Amino acid sequence: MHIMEGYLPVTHAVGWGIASGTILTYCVWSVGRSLRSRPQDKFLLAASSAYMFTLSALKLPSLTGSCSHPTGVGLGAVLFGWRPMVVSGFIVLLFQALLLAHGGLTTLGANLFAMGIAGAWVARGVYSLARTARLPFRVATFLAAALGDLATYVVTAAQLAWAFPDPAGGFVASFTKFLGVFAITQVPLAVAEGLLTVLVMNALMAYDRRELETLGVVPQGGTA
Amino acid sequence: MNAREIYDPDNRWRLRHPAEKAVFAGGMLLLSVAAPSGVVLGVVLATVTATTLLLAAVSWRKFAGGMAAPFGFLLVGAIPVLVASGVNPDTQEAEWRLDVAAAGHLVLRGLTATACLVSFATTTSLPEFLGLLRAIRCPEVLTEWMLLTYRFSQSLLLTVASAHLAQQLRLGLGSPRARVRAAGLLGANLLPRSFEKAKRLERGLECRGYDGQLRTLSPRRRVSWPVLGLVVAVQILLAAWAVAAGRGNL
Repeated sequence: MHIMEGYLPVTHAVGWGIASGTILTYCVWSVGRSLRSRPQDKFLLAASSAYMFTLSALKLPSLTGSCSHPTGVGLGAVLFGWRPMVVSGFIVLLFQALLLAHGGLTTLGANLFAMGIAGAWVARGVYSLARTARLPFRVATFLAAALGDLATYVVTAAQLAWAFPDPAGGFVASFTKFLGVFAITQVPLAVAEGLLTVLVMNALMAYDRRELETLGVVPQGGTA
Repeated sequence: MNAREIYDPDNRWRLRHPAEKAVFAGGMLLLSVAAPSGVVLGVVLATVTATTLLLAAVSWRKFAGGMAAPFGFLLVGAIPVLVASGVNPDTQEAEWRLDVAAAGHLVLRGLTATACLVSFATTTSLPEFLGLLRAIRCPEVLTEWMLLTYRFSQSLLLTVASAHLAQQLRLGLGSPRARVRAAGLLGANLLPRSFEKAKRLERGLECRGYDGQLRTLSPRRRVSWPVLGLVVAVQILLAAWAVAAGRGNL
């Protein structure tokens, strides 16, 4: 789900651009440093970004100047951590704008904050908490992907409510309005994304377990 | 490029330097989000559309195709702004009213900004854009990541098309339940396949002496300063008009 081009007022577009740009700069620096010692990860990260791009190009309109689709951020955050997902999210959003005219350049900062930053933080945080609480690997993956997806939509609703507060009810009324409309598409979509992510993890466990071990997602030689 | 991209490879600006197209579309985009006057927005929309279709000779089908989905989303998205509702703090009663002017302005601004984006996307290919990023010294890790993502996504989309066809031929799409199962299997098998391709590419490059950098040659094009000057002059005139009208916040 992205906010469309030109939808946000210029001050909001600039503000979100600065906020996301700062975090993106840190993440590019941080990921670039780790890629110097493991350059082979560049290919896996790019493959993961391409997968996200393919997934997130499946669009569904929603009643909020926006549209809905699986983000793939949860899966990436579980596999690689949140920092690479910020960069990956930026690339996917930029590609969507430049290749498909979906989302936009002036709304890139806001969209990156919702999908690449908040979505990845929540997904990684939920996954770490669930694993600490000794929940099964598949349950942790499902929760991370589904809640990461929901976090993206909640943040987007807040961004839109901030930009367009209700004349009578202000931010809260507008936020409730946007959130309510999003829920129709987003709650089922979040569950679907959670299930899809578990299916992908199962496929990776069956065909590419060594890669998951290398990435530290599952223990060497043990069971998840 | 793939069939889903809106880039028009037959456009007349394909040999122009991407910086000229970026300045044109970027400047007009800034004007469209910053100028609050509906008249200025209308002029920017007409200028961008006419320039893209007549001067750049972008196929109208490509242009309309690029505009269609965002336009639909914009129209639907204007509804929450059109219908303003809430509780009146004085009377404590629920009330609602229609704010046609705000919703109309939002749609026009979104439409104009989208036209600028579509103009750039239909006239500039992604490799050209990446060349432009390299020229302005964008971090190499980012441009290489983008280049690899672009190549992998092309390959992934071909895999999706062939896997979908195979599922169809095996009658895997015969019922709604089968279609959901097929989509799940397809999605689940895409990432392992994508990882496999990534590892094969990495091995291939290592055998060719890969040192962590992907160097490619791109065609050298010169910036036309008269064209760039004309574009900037038109944009300055439009910005001055918006400011002089007393409604601009540029």
